[in-house]
Parts: sequence; C-alpha cells; structure tokens
Amino acid sequence: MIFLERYWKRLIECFCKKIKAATILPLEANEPIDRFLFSKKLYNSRKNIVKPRAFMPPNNRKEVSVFRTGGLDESQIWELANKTILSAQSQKRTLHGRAEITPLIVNNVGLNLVSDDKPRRHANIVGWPSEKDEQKMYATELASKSTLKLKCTDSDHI
Amino acid sequence: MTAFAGYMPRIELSFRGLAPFKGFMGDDRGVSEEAAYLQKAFSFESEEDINQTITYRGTINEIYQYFNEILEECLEENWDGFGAQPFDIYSFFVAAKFFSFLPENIPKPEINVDPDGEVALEWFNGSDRMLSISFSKKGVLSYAGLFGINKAHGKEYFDNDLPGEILEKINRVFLQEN
Repeated sequence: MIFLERYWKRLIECFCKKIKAATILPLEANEPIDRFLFSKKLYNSRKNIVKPRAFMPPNNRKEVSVFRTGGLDESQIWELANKTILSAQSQKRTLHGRAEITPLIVNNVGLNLVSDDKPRRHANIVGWPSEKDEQKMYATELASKSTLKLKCTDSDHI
Repeated sequence: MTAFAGYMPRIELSFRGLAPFKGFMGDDRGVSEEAAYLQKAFSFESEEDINQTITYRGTINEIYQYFNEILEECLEENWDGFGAQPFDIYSFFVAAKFFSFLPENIPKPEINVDPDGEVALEWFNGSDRMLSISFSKKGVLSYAGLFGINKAHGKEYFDNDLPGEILEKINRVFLQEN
C-alpha cells in the first residue's frame, strides 16, 4: 500500500513537471527581451544609450536576469517589473526604464538565453566567462545593441 | 611618465591606506569647501602602514564630483536592484589616480560602479563607440571597448605610469575610422 502511494505521488510530480515545462513558450529569435533599469547609473538619457554596466552579471553569479515581454503593452511591461521585481525588494527602488534586446542579439554576441518562467516570463542570459574583461566585452556589446526605453520623462543624466 | 608629459600637478593629497572616513584631518589648505571635505575623506590610517602621496591633476573638484556621484547612488548594497556591492573606496582611489594622470585633451569620462564594487571610468561616443575601464584596488585595469565594427578587451596593470595601450583605446573612442 505504501509502495502504491509513493508510486502515485511520483507519477503526479512527474506529470506536473511536464505540464509546467510545456507551458514555457519556446524563445523566438526576435521577441523582445527586457532588462529593467533601477538606477540612473545604468543609462544615459541625454545620449540615449544603455551603459555596459546594465548587462554585467551580478557578483559571483554568471547570469543576467531579464524578462520576456512579447505581447505586452507598455503599461503591462512596467506592471510586470512592479509585480515581479519591485515587490520582492526590501528597499524602495525606482524603476527608471528598460534596455530591450532580442534572443538573436544575445546569441550573436556569443551568449545564451534560458527561459525558466520563475517568476512568470523570466529568463536568464547565461554563458558568461569568468574573466572580468571578457564579461565587460559581452556586456558592452549587449548594451550597444539594446534599445533604451524610459518609463517616463527623465531628467538628463550626465 | 612620457605618456602624460606636460601634465602639471597643482594639488597634492596624502592618504594612508584603510578604513574610509576615519581620522579626518580638519585642514582645508585654502581649497574649496568641497575639496577640503574630499581631502579629509582621503586622510585615514593604514592597516598595512603604507604611506603614499598621490598627486592629482588640478581637478580636485572633478574628483570630488565623481566621489559624490557614486556616494549618492552606489553606497548601499543592491543599489542596482540586482544585488550589486557598494562601491569600493580603494578602487575609487585607483580610478582617481588614473584620472589625474590623463592628459588634459582627453574628454572627461563618466564614472560607474560594477556589480563587484569596482569603480569604472567610461567614455561614450554614440552607441557603437564606447570604452569601459574597471579598476581593482590592486591596480588591475580590466577594459572592454567597442570602436565601430571593431572591439577590444584585456587587462593592464597600473601603478605610476599610464598604460599607453589604454590611452590609445580612449583616443580610439573619439577617432573617426573609415
């Protein structure tokens, strides 16, 4: 009887995992991918550029957190950031804007994009090297090819 | 020293090693109030008992502005919302020293802080011409730059000579290549 219960539980777990995997939509080459910007140091609105720093992987981690925003309008994209990132922060943060790229750009610079849907629509840019100058090179290329989208009229930042 | 021949130091600051903001001196030596504050901030006791004098280009106010900028934005952990470390004061000192060594004709860089707390100086000339140099507290410079369709990255050591390779990369950001 115990054996049957365990077997049944395993079967359900396996089934749930497969359903979840199936709900993560496959990445399309040109779908919009956004890196949210919570500091003015990550972009320059006057020059309309995203700074390389915006795409640098966090300390001791080799993944950059991004969100898949295809099919969402502007207000829904900002809402996504509010619900998934800002609500999880212990300190109050201001969302200034986002840097938009595509999976194709990520692949072209030599990195990969992995969608985990945790939280919903979340993905990670992976494949980062360990040497800092190499990380900076990748981040610089991503920043160069990204589009700066500000949340609202932002004062010029020098 | 040939790389920055012609540079004329006007202000000297002395500081000794560790523990930021410890042991303010209270000596403003006739410079502006802000510069005096920075001067105080840079005067502290050394853990390793290293005595060194850094001579800055006559831009103490610019260095103070940089300092104030990252102090305001990058002092707390997670300042970028993705777990960044607060800026490293020693890395800032190396960056400030590097800045002071730059020839006067080099455009003023922007200052930034990496996720590991290292301070970076950056030059931008459009979205496809940019250079970012990070400064470790030990004087290792990690740089990456885009120069139109060309790119370059690497490491250099910085002590009391401005690496010619780096100077060439900075100039290349503003060079019109055909």
